Order: sequence, then C-alpha cells, then structure tokens
Amino acid sequence: MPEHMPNHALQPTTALGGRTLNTGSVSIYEVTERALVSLAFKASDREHVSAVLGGSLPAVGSSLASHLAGRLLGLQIDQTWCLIESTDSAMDKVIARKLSDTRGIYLTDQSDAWTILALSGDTCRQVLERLCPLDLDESVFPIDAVARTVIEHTGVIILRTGRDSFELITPRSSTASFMHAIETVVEHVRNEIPVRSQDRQQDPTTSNA
Amino acid sequence: MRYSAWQVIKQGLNGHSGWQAAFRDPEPKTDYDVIIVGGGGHGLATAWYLASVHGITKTAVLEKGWLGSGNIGRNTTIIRSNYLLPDNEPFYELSLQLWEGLEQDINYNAMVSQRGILNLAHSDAQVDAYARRGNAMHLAGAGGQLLDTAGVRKRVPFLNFDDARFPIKGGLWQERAGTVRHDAVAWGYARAADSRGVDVIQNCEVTGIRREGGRVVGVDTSRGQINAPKIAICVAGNSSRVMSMVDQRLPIESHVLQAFVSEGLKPTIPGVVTYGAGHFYISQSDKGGLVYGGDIDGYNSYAQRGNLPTVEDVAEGGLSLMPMIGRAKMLRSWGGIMDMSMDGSPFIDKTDIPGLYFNGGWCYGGFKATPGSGYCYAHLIATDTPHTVATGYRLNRFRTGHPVDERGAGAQPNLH
Amino acid sequence: MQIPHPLLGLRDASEFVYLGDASLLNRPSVDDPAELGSDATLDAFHEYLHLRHNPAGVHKELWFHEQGDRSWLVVTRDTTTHEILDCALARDVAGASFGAEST
Repeated sequence: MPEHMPNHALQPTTALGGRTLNTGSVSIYEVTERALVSLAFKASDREHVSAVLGGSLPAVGSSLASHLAGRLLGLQIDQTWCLIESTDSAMDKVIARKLSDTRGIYLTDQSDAWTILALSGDTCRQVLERLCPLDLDESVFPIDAVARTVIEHTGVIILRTGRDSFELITPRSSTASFMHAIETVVEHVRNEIPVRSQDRQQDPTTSNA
Repeated sequence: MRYSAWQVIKQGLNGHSGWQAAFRDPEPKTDYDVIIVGGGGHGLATAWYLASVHGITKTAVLEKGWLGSGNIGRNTTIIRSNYLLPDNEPFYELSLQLWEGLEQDINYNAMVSQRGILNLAHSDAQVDAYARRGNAMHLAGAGGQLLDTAGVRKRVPFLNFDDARFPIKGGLWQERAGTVRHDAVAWGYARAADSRGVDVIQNCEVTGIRREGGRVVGVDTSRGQINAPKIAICVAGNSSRVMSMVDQRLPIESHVLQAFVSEGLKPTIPGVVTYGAGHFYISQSDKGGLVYGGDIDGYNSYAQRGNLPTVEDVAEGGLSLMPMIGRAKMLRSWGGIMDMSMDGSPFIDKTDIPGLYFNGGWCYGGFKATPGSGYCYAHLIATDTPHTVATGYRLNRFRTGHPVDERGAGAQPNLH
Repeated sequence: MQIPHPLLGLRDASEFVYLGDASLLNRPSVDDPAELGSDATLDAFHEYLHLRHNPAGVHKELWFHEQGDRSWLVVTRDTTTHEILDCALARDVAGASFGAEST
C-alpha cells in the first residue's frame, strides 16, 4: 500500500459497542465472543440428525449442551440452533467437520446477524414480564428452556440460563431500539420497587412471612 | 308529527304532553311487496328511499334485536368521500351529498357535522398518492385539498411533527367530511319510513327463506311466516349466516373491529384525523369524548368483543401520532362484527335466486355509506337494475376478475 | 386469546398470524393441462380463493406461529365465544388428509 493512502482496515465493532446497564437489581450486557449456527433439516430426518449429534437433539422449547456443537436450542420441529463459545466467523464449517454425516443437514452461520444480551438480577423477571408475552414461571419455563417470541414488535429468542438470568438473542440491525425498550422498562420497574416493598411492609400477612 | 322550531314552542306551552312516539311498533302483517331483512342503518335507509323515491311503501323491515343494537350503534360516526377508484368514489360522493341533505329530507336532527377529515402523509410517496387520490375526488366533485406540513400544523398543531421515523409531510383534507350522531340516523330513517307506512318490526328474527318454483316467496321468522315477492338481505356482519339459509357461500369473512372512547374533554380535536403510518384515526364527539379506532382484530369472529393486543396496537398508534392523549383515560371500548369482503369493497346486487337481493360486505366502512347504500339498494330493488354509481358492487366480480381493490391487498379479508 | 400450541403449550395469539378457513389446505389441483383454463377449473379456484363458509360457531382455521416456532396450526375455535376447542400441527392435518407423511 502506498504511503500517502490512509489505512482502510476496518475494525469490527459489536452492535452496542460494549454498552452495559447495571442498576444493582438488574444488569444487562452484550455477550460477544459467541457464534450462532442454525441447523435445519427435514422433520422426517429428525432421528437421523439426532443420531449424528450423539443422540442429543433437544425437544422444541428446550436446550441442552452438546460436545459437538455447543448449546443446542430447540426452536422448531425442523430447526435447531447452536450457540458456541467462539469468535470463528465460519463456525458452520467447523461443526460440519465434526459431524460424521451431514446429509440432509443445512448449517448456516448466523453470528453476525444477531446480538446476544445477557439479562440477570433480582428484578429481571419483572422486566421481562412487562416486555414479552411468555409465561416465565419456572414451572412453565425452567432453566434451559428456550422460546422464540416478540418484544416491542421485534423478534427475540429467550434462553433461560438461571433462575434470575436470561439471554436474549435479537436481530442485530434493531438492537439499539431493542435495548432502548429494555432500558425504559428497567427504569419503570426500578421506580416501582420502593412502592411495592413499602406495601409489603404494611401488609401483615407478607411482613410475617 | 313534523318536527320544527314551532313544534318545540307549541309543545313547550303544553308542558311537553303532546309528543308522540317517533315510530310505531306494529305487528307483522302476512304480506308485503318487499321484506328488508335487517333493521340497521342501511336497511332503514333502503326502506325510506323505496318509499320516498320509488313510491314502494308496502314494506316490512325485520330486525332481530332492537333498532340501533347492531353496527349502526357501534361505529365511529365518520362520514367522508375520499376514495380513489372509479367504482367507489362516485358512490361515496353520492352518499356524502345525501348526508348533506339528510336532516331536511327525513325531518330529523341527526347532528350532521361537517368538521372535515385530514388523512396524514408521512413520506413523499404518500404525498404523491394523496395527490392522485385528491384528483380522483375532484373528478367526482368531492373536493379535497392537499396540505403541506405547514398547512397541517396550522389545523392540528398538537401532532407529533418531530417524529424522526414518521415525519408529517402533509395531508389530504376534505372539508365536507365530518361526523353524524349514529343512533339518530337509525331513529330518523325509521321514523321517516314509518311515516310513509313502512312497518319497522323489531325483535323479529328471520329463521328461514321460503322458495317456490325457484323464486323467493317469503321468510320464516320468530314471529311467524311473512310473505313477499322481493326479499332484500341487509345484515352486514351476519351476511354469511343469513345467506347460508339459501345455501349460498359468500366472498366474506366476519371479523371483529374495536372502537374506543375516552372521558369527556374540552374541545381539542377540530375534525377527524387519520394516521398514515399506522392504523389509527380519531375525532372528538360533541360530548367531548375522544372517539378512536384502528385495525380489525384479524380473525373470524361473531363475538362483538375483541382482544387486548389490538387495544395496545391502537393505543400505540395514537400515542405515536398525538403524545398528548396519553393522559386521557379510556372510558369504554366495544366491538362490532364486520363483513370483510375479499377486496375490501361492498356488494349491492341481485342474487342468482329470483326475488332475492343482497347488500353487504361493507368491511369497516359501512356507516358513511348508509344513505348511499340505502339509495342504491332501493334503486336496485325497485328497478332490478343497479344504480349508475353502484355498478361495480357485483357479487360475481371475483369470478369474472373485476375486484374493486381500493386497498391493493388482494383476496385477503383480514388485510383490508 | 391464547392458543394451546401442541408443542409449546399456551402461547399468546399476538405471536401468530391468521390466514383463515382451514379448507385453504385443500387447494384444487389440475392434472390435465387442457383443463387449465376451463370453466370448471376457474370455478374451483374461484371457490377456493374467494368463497367462505364463515360460520357463527365452530370454525377450523389456519394460524401461523410467526413469532414462535414458525409452525402452521389448525385451530378449532368457536367464533361466537373465541373459545379454542382443539389445536393441531397443520403438517399432521395435511398429512392425514393426503394419506401420506409430509416429507
């Protein structure tokens, strides 16, 4: 490259540029260094795919850890997503090499199309219940459960990673709007908390509990 | 009794003891020239124009509930004639002209208030589309004026003009549009038709349609059999139910549409305003309530009540257009059942069965059409030919490839 | 309104897109090319595309779980009360009616 020309090597940035939020009772940060690969197949090939993956194909609505392809998210009867600790941008090819037989399996690297937000804290369920139409009670949506749903008119995949921790996977192009919606609700929930705890103190049935 | 200022003074001097019921509550006779099934706005208007224009007065209007219990009392009371297509615009313009002369015609105060309608545009393309629509309106004599942002701001300064995503680029203004007190329309038409001898029969549900030699001859009702050589169906919302009595399937799905009214507020919204970037429209009633609505719920329903996602959707549209209404409390919401036709346009037509006429498919635009619909339906029933402004509203138009697709959504009733 | 998804349990209707009468699964087919423009064919497609039973009462209808698992469902619902009586995957319904597994 001639000396007088500027160096145009571009630096990759994440969707939110490392923006985080921590109010004490809820924290949100952007999970980077994670790859996402979709694994699609014909519904009639489900047993074959399960065998190739070592018998570890999750039911729709649940997720499980796989030694071949990271955490598998059961999103559809004929589609599973792989969530993998990696920054490799061609993780689909890495997985394909690990599988003994890829006939009828369609692997697509989706990493750059999505943003993963980790949401945790005492009030994160209160935040989510205002945002999404899912029933997040642990009896219905236990740890490792996963569901595609909608928040603020934007599609989102919700993965429960703990009692009070979730990962939200949402399209990268609308992440800023999505984050704005969450931040707004976090603020609303935070403003409501003192009122609620005061109510509890005045209510003898709960203050004795 | 003719209503007038003189009558008010005279009755006032008599302690208001001389007022009579606005219309009779007659027992059904056995024979009529015409039976109109459905005592909503359109059915009553049809009876009035059959009597006043065509001299046909041996008519029964059969209503399964009480007058005003259906969609004539469940709409948002807006009248306008700002359509584009040649099959629509002259029809709605005739209807608006009939609204303008309605109170004199039927001697009843229906509170016709021409306070104007403003359709907002939020992109250059939408401004161009409104320019085209405005030209179509002028061709039909309906008037209309294209406003720029400053013109909109002058009329409705309280809108969210600074929205980065949906800026207000202008709007199409029709000054002659407005609102009407909807239940007064039912009462006024019923009283006028009744005064010419039409029997308006309430709590009389049609349960069957009788045929002899291929022709219709009468109906079975909850109050007995009633005969007539001409039977005119006019039951939008329930058209498929009634037409199934003669084994006819229609290009119609019934859907629920919700509407809302806020607590009474001081006068703030001068006319009707429609949002061009979401489905939301609003006006203010004479009592002060903000009357607003949006999209249909989007699934087949006869339940006359809807679900919460649509309430949220309408509220979001309203708040994005006029943030100030966020402080107004919603007082009531209700649902009405719409005949959603495949192309979003209505039907005023003869059926394949001699003597049986059909009027329906009004989607969520039936109220404004009330006088025009009655006028053209009466013309069809009396003369067996469609009125010149209603020639497009044929029942077989999908089979022949002549849909009237004002919205451009094709054969998807839940998209119109 | 919540829809009892056969795989996912109760899910809010706002996650779904509605298409209409489940008879839309049974699109007419024309095997003989000479019949493509015939009146019988045009009548069959006209009825399929445009005419509906539109009952007040029990209605079988197609819903698409767009903001979910992207499955098509056949929901049996009472249109006068919105009560949902049954819900099945459309692929199972279609498979049964065509006498074959979907592949």
